[in-house]
Amino acid sequence: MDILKYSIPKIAKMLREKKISSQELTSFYLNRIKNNKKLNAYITVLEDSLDIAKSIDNAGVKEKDPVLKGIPYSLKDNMLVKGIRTTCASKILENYTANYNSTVAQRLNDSGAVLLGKTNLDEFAMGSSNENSFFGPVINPWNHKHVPGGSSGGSAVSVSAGLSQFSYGTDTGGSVRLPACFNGIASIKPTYGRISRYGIIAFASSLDQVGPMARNIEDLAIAYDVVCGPDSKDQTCSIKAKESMYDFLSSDKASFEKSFSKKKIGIPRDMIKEGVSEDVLKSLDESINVLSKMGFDFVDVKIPNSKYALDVYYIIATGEASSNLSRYDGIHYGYRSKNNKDLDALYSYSRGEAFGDEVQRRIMLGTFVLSAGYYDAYFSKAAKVRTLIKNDFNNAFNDCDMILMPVSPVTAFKLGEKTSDPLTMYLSDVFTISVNLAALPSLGFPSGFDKTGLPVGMQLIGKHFDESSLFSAAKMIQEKKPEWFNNVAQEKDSVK
Amino acid sequence: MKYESVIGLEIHSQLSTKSKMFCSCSTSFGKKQNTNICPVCSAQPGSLPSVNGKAIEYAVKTALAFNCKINKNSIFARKNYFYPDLPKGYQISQYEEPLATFGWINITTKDNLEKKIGITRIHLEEDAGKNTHNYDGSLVDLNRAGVPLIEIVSEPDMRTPEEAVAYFKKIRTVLQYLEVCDCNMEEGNLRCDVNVSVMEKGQKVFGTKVEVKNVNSFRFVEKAINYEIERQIKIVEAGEKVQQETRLFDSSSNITKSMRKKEEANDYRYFPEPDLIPLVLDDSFIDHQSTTLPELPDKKKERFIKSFSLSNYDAAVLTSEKDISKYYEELVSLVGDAKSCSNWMQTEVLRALNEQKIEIVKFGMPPKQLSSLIKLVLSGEINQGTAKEVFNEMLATELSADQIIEKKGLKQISDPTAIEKIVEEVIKESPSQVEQYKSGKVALMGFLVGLVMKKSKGKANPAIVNELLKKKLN
Amino acid sequence: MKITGDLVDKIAGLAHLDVTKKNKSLLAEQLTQIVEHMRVLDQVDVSNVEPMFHGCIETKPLRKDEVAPFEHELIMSSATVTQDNYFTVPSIIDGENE
Ligand SMILES: [Mg+2]
Ligand SMILES: [Zn+2]
Repeated sequence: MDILKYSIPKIAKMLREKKISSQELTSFYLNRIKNNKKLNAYITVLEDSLDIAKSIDNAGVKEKDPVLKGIPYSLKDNMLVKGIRTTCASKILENYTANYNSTVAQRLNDSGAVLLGKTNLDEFAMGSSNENSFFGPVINPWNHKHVPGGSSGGSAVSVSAGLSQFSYGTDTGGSVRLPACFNGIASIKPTYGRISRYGIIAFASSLDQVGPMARNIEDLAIAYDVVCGPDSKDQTCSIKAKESMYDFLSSDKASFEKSFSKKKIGIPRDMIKEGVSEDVLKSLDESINVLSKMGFDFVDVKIPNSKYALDVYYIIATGEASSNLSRYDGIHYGYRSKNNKDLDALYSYSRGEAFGDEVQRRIMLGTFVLSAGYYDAYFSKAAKVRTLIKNDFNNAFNDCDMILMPVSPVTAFKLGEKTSDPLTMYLSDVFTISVNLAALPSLGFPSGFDKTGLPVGMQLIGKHFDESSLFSAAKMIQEKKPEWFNNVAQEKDSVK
Repeated sequence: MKYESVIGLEIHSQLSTKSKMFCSCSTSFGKKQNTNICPVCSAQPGSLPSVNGKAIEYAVKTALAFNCKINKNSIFARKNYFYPDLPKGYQISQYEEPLATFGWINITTKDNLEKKIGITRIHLEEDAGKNTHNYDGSLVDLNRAGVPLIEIVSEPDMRTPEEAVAYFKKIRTVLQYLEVCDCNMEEGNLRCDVNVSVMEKGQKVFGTKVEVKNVNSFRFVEKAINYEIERQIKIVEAGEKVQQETRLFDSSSNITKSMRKKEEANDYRYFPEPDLIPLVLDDSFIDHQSTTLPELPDKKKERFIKSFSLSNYDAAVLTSEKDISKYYEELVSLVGDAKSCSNWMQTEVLRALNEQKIEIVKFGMPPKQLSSLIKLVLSGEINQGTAKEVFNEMLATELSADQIIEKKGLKQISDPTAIEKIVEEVIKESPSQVEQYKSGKVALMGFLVGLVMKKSKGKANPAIVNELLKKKLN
Repeated sequence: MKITGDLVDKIAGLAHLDVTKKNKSLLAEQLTQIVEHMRVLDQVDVSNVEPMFHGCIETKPLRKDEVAPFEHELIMSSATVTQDNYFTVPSIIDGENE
């Protein structure tokens, strides 16, 4: 039985027909996690997930049970699960046990899905390569010399290497889509406000959004459905009623196709210029080709202010982060330095000893952009340019329904390649951050492989709260290009 | 005096909501340390604030009562600084776009004039926790962290310590009328920081201001300002410059002390709170708050003057506290004679409260009991002097007026034959005074009345005594 | 815009980060490089542009004023050091509070 080839709907059916048990599924994944330790995808593996699976099997999975009941998944280790260690890949929270459930964890728990463990990430989700973890870097399963992308590298690897059925990351500037792209899997960064941020350790509050990852579009839709929807605990979470993407994709084919026919896709050629690799450009053309055959029209759109997006992003994200990370002070929980002769020492040594270099760099940067004398030129200015970027997208959406572009200018780069130069590392996010700034939804899908066998990925960006257009287009792409989906990473001899 | 002081106040008032500003923890006072806490107010990773709608209601009511312009779009901001009682490392407050601006209230100055004091802004924020100290360190209790506060910032419109106290008192009165703050200053529910500067009289440019923190009683406000004025004048007279700084009032020595922390170290890096969407208030909400405002002290005072024919002074005293005005109105409704009720309130009730150092809600004599006493005076059953004696007895024993009068035999003598007997005795015993009176010294009538009253142990009805004396002597 | 060593110290002070063991000149250089890059924003005309500080600006109903107790023992057990159910810190002089 090849579990890795099955989608969630298929497994759900098998569970109901008792052709497979939740225990079998769970131990299958736990074994794979054990055998792939070197990928360093998990920070915490929950061995007692088998007991949970057992109790689910004992109760039996019924027809009316939630579709995810008994199915194993993983969560990025910046989402709180009550009673379970949550580290955010930082020494400062190395021994912190969550005392409440994030809304995401609560909803997954209610669905009966089985949590396998907490996945590795860049410390406090700050990074594009997953090399900034207190627990060591995550390895790209397609080529062990390469990074998996960050910051949700562990989650992406858990899905692409078959160490869980599906997973969740968080996307502040591309942290779900980039690792999903580097790993050849599907992902979505929903519209800001679609998924509650309650219990998600904040990096940059006005940009952070949880995003599911999966090996195919059905799984992605199911993973998306279970966590999205209003939450009174998060005042930035939208009150728009949730609509099931999975039901939508499964609706009668004629009406489904009608829902996206005659839609236009914009290509922001002005953004996709220098620095984009041949392979990525070729893959973009191929995606355009596939979508054209499906009946989409293409138009050129311009996002002129996107050239400022990187700078705007690093000002806003670090500014917010510098404040969000003030609570890690050694007093109320977390790492506390022994060097605490007075209050100032307790603060600065606890924080100085327990935050990694990149986190400290960003706190410094964020403190600077908010400080007296610099606030107007940096933070306030960036917030205004952010408006211009959002307006650019709104204008573009007058001419099209979705925007297509690569997730990254290049495929997964080598471990250590960019660690010495923060600015070059920041440039990895150049195609993803505009979406976060404009609070738009963006679905990342795999679009084949480069010459060296590393995955390439594209993203479809939609209007605010129009995830359904993205899902429907992605579903059609999957039907036309099944070979792009359901891949499980294996290091190929040729690229070793 | 050559100098003039310029004073402004920042008042923090705790809103009397059941739950905290941004979480569902209880606000109740006096609970065991760190028991009213949750992930939000103890800043656990990932927790998010959620605005208490009642706090917004109370704040809007307050702003309307202080004649403010309500900003329909206000935003919460983070004030960033590290302190153990502030677990997030920032306080959620409002900065550039506060809830309300441009308000004012009237105070009464010591020359009995009305003076308008401007209110710069009213904004919402959360309180911090509490630090206490023992021999080997400091201890932090977060029960209070996240309790809703409004900060009321005045214009620098006050010129004397008395005006500052009058303003602070007026703010307290209005907050009590609104029932948005219990104003218990001992529990720290109403706190005050004072900004003081001095300048030469007639100057237009204010001197350098000094902020004095933690001045948490009316008495301390007066003392702290007086101390600062003196201190600053000394500096100016010595030809030196007043330092802009934050000082702390020490209530044990009545002086202000410079705070160790340097002013330039305070860079709060305010920025809009990204976890909270802008606070949008629509017209119907504001209108509703406005129409449900209770009668406020100034309006009540006007009404008292008009419908009870009270003097401005009397009306001011009787409306100075909501519960006093309530007591008074109940008394009037029972007795009918507003003027005597006012006199009784001011001479006896307020005196008794002062002596017992209690608030009127804890006063042992409800309006109903007092009203029966006043009625006995008005109907001539007892005289005023006896009534005061009975009043004190009522407070001491909790017996009713009737019972005391009965027990002590204090009932007024209004029987003319009984009084006539005493009058005749007095005339007999004071021949020289009677002679002088008859020869034109009419002022001696009072003396003779006094003698009759004394002889009757104060029980004789003074009106009848007067009448009979006149009849006998003319 | 050059981030000098002094500015690094000042920022580190505000952020309460001990940087004495760090390569301060490298940090200053990296921050300078990033901040320099950000100066590209100087050329953008933002007159009459409203800032975007929030990801979502939908209005929502506010929370009802109702008390819901939490298992506060869990929070105290997360604390690294406590004494008599208090969080503890080195001695501070009170009133320096805001
Ligand atoms: Mg304040
Ligand atoms: Zn709380």
